[in-house]
Amino acid sequence: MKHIETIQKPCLKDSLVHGGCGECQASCQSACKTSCTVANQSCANKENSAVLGGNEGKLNRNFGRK
Amino acid sequence: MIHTFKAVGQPMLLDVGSGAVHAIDELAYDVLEKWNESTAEEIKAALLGKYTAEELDEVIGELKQLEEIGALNAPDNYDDVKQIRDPGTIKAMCLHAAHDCNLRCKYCFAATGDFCMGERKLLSYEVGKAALDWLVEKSGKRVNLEVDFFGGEPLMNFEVIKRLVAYGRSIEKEKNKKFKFTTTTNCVLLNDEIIDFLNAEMHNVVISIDGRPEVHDRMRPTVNGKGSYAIIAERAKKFAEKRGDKEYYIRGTFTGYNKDFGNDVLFLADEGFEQLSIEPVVTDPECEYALKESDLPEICAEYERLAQVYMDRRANGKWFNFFHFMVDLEGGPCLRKRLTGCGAGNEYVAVTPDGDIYPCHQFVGREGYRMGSVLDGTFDRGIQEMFQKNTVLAKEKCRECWARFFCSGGCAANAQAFHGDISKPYDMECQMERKRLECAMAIYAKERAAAKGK
Repeated sequence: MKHIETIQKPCLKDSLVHGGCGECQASCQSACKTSCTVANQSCANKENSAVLGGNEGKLNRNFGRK
Repeated sequence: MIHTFKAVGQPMLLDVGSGAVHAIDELAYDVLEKWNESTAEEIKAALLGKYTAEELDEVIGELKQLEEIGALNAPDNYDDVKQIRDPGTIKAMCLHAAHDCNLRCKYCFAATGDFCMGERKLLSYEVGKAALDWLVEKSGKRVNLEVDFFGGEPLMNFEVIKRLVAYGRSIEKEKNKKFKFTTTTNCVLLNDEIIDFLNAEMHNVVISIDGRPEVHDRMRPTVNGKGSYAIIAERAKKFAEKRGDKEYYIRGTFTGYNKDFGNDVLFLADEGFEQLSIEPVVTDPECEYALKESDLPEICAEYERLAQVYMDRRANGKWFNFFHFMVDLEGGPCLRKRLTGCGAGNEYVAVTPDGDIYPCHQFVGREGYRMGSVLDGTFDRGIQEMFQKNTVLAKEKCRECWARFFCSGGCAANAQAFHGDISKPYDMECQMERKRLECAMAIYAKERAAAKGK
């Protein structure tokens, strides 16, 4: 497309297939302890990696590092 | 629902229902402003002159394509989604190693350590062990269990923490559990022995520093009223250097005294810290240092300024992370997680040195929120169910908010503190969160484009 670049494809509905295992980090245990940002937590479910990351910890240490 | 916005000069489109995120140009941005209220012909008529008919046809065609593949105006009602598997399971615990502290921070929500309980005390090994056993029992099939040693200042009780970690490790294999221990510390007691222990055993360590020495010292004095920056700075740096690739965060608080908090983030980055999280103070609006509704334009402008400098630094050899500018668009949490949020009172609890259970550390001592005790096995499932049902779908105010699948409805403790109701989010928090998310998504798009050489 010329005017639009998709950064993230639709993902929420598909994530229901394997989602909800609960193995991911509780968001408040990460770095904030007050202001909740769930979407910066990574998925810890390896079964879900086709849809989501299955990449726990990726964000929390070297996110965007070259 | 769609949300269009600009941050760090980048026009963006979020499709709330699908989770799709698009970087767009100015033309698409202008068309989208009218997309759901006008026909294609009306949009063309309104924008012809500013853009050519050919350009407008191109964009309208692209947007129709997005709609066809479910990446624009996708259904956003998830009311029928079943909750997380195994309701009632608890997987995370904030274990209060100390209801005492060696600092007297002015904004401390824990009343400088004793949580308004009138008595300073340390967690005993026996109570801590009972808490770990209780968590294992309540965790069902979950393998990964999180235990955060918190306070007050948890390192005032280092020997007990060491013994509890050893105990946890000793039962992992037999119980098929993996403890992820973490701790939050003010660094006053950090020494080589403790640093080595934390680096060996702690999955994450959160270090409390507010930023520039004068900012830090104003709010984080010692017991005798002197600034604590000089005591902790070198210890924290030594810790971060020895931490290697393991997780840590410098976690500070900004207040009405330093609404230029971006300078504190940059100061900490200049000091060599790479993982930063500076959070807005949450306190009584009557406090002199409280952040006020009228401060929001200034605060949002500061996030915008910080976002620009953040990108510039990351692109030019001065890389660091800012917690609230991180958003995992490609590998983020599943929808169920996004509905349930932090899990306080449901999957996550806090345990005091007396063994009392509360929905989270922020709720400790609040009347009506004691859930039971790890010592006598009592546990109020009614309170747990109340928190379990408090998903983002249950929060009236969130239903019309584009950010609901990113923040999951915010902090229940803040909602309760300001509105007496865990389902009514604290509006200041919402407004800041929305600005941070806009910055995070735009940064993501721009860094992605830069990596592709665009």
